[in-house]
Amino acid sequence: MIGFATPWVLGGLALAAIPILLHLFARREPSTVDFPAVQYLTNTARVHQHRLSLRHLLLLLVRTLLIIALVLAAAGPTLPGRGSMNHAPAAMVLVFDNSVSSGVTEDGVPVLEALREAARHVLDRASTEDAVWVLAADGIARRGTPSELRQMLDSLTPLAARLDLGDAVSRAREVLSGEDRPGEVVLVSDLQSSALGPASGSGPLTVARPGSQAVMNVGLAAIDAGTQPWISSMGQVTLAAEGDSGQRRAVSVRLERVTSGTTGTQSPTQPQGQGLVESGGALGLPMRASGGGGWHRLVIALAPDELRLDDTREIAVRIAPPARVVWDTADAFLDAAVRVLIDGRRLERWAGAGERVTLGTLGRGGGASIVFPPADPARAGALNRSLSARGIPWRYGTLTEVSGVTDSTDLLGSHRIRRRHDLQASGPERGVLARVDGTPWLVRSGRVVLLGSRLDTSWTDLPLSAPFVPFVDALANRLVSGDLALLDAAPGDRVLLPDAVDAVAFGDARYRVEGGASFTSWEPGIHFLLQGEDTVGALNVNPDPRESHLGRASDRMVRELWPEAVVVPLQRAGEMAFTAGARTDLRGPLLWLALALGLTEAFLAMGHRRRGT
Amino acid sequence: MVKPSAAIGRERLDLLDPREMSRLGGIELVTQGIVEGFLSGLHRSPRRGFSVEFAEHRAYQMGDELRYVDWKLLARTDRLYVKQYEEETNLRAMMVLDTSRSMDWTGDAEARLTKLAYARLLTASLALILLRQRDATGLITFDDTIRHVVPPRARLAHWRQILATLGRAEPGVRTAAEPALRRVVGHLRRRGLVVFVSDLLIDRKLTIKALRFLRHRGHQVLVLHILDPAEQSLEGAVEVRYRDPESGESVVLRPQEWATAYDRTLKEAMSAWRMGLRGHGISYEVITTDTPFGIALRQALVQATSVA
Repeated sequence: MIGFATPWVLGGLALAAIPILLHLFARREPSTVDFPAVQYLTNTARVHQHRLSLRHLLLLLVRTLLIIALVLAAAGPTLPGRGSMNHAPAAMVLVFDNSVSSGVTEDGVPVLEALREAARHVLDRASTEDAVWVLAADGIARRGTPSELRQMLDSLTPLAARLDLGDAVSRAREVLSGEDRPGEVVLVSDLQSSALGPASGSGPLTVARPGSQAVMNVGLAAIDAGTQPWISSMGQVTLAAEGDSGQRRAVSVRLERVTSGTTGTQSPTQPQGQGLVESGGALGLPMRASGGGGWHRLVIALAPDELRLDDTREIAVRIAPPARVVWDTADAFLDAAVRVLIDGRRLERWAGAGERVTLGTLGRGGGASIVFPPADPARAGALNRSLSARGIPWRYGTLTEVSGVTDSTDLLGSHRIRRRHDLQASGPERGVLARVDGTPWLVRSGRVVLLGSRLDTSWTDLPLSAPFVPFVDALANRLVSGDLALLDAAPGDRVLLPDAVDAVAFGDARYRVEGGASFTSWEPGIHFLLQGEDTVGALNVNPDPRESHLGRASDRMVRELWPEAVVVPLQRAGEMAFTAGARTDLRGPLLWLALALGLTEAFLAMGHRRRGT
Repeated sequence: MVKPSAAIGRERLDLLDPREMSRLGGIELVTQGIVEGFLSGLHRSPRRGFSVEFAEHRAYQMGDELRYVDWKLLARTDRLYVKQYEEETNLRAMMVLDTSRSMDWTGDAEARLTKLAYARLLTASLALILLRQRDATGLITFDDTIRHVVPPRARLAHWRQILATLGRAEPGVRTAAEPALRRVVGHLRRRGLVVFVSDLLIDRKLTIKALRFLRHRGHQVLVLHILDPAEQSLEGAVEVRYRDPESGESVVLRPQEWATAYDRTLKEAMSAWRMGLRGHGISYEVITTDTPFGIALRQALVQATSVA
């Protein structure tokens, strides 16, 4: 099917009517002159009219075709066809897979360099008339001239992010869908089988892949630091490994205390834990912190192998003494949960001295409190006055008995709420930790946490669920002391930050964020969540464990997933670029045709003048 | 450019541009100037006469003029012979002038005379030359009918009558030469000379038929085909409607595109005239209106001499 680079130019075909209009117009009003020898003209016309009419028609046809040829050439027509060295102006998205797995070294050569070399060859085929994008593992399609994109390509390093190749191809096709020119996608990738996924859209797709077998790799897949905070400097780390190799690998664990805000660390001279781990296996290591309470950086490292990016993971751990609590023992569910936590040494009963956390009511004397609404709604007013007296900008509003569900957070999950008081802020809603049907249900202000419902089955089904005890633990040990969130993500993931967070600190960098907005980081490591100067949580960014599986997809798998794909070795990537969807540029032939028509027109017109008919 | 009168006397007026020549004065003055110029140059011509032709010798008789004795023959044969001429008396000539509408046209009014104006002067000049030779000369003008008839007379004063008739000749409408040519017969009882001056935009077959009739009657016939140079070639790039002033018939065309074909058609037409006439011993001469009268007269008189 014929295509056009600039189809709007085809509107110019209307110009083809000009010779006809001129012909008709020119014949309208000739001037009249007396000429006695008209009989000779009449005789001449009778003899030569036919030939002259033919010549006129031929001239008209040639002129019309000349305009059509020029307009068509300007519209950039192309025909499907392969193997042409000079391709028609085209659009191409080069998907360059610089994900974690591209950092592996095979036979002493980084895979990324092999991919980069192939990608350079692809860009070498591009001309300035082509629309070219490079879409790397960060998922952003960047457009530029071939030389600009070559520079950009040279600056790319393995990114700790995962690149879902199906998503990348889909995104590339979306980019091309806005182009009038014929488009194609060239994917240069190590073609991990774990990265393959279905792609939407359709269109030519060239997949350039390494011909060699992938190396066997083991990487850290996950770290579980158990319930936080770690109480009394004690904790348990469970780590898991993923990969293709069955070999056991040495692993070491180090716990560094974050000392100076969120940037300084105090590293132990020796690792606190060591062991061996194999792909698909897990290793549990008991840990003891030596540097006291506060935020810590837990660093787990595997012995180095060909892929270094998945050999290290970090998570944040907070170490704190157990909260000393007072509570209303008449509150059966709360009482039961507290006793379980005391038995588990997660809580301690307040003995009359030191900091305390009051569970259920607003504690006297300004200590930390987890406040439930009063069982008798009539006492809500008195509670509100006490809250106001403490400077808490929240108050209990009307009692709502319409069933609702808590929004799903890592802290709470979804639970049915039967009765609740609306929590109303006297100013901007700050410190909302959970909502029910969009209205605040769990809020924090200073060292006071307010719940919209009592922890009773007549108010909510939460006390009957498994997360109830951990929820009470989190209320007493984390939320009331400002530890609001411990989040995990892979580079490039979008993470929804708690409302209270107004900045994210990573190393020396600090990013202002909008509480409740999403946040994305491409850098692996611990990102501390800040509320003012307080650290209220952490976002642990570590590579996606699927990147540790380096096994490559077969050509058959590729074709099954992407039927249009043409799979070629990396060395042929450049050769295949602009040929998968290649279209022969018809501008050259059309311009030659126009030239021939122009010469024919000149010949015919001059013939008219020179020879008459 | 009009020459000053002082210069006129010194130059061959018959070789001036016809348009300039016509500006020198009335038809009489101009015609006399043409003829004087023409005759003054004639003595340099190898031809000395045209109306009296040698026919045979006869033996000298008493009373014969000595000037007719053939001295060369006497030297060779030692006998006296005198030259016998075919026509001892002067010629009778009839000028037939086409005054139709098509003759009243010029392609460039600034530079050239109309065909009719040119033909008038040419006819007047011819008539004057003939009359000066004491040849009886008459005139018929016609368009689609015969307009004026001046019977042939040999008196020089008769020329003024011819001039007056030429002066009265107004452009007519259409052309029909046959009646005029047949009328000639009534005025040339002996064999004579017929000079037919026309642009020949007439029915060729009928006209040739009439001319052949004259020829069969023993007359010498000379056809002077008067053409304006603009009729010889088409020029211009813009489409033009050409209208025949006589018939009103018109044709629309681009001159540039038709020039060659027209040229070919015109040559074919002229060739048809020439072949049709010369095949019957009729002289045919094309004269364009930018030709100086001296040259035109020479063309005409050479043809007339040959036919006579």
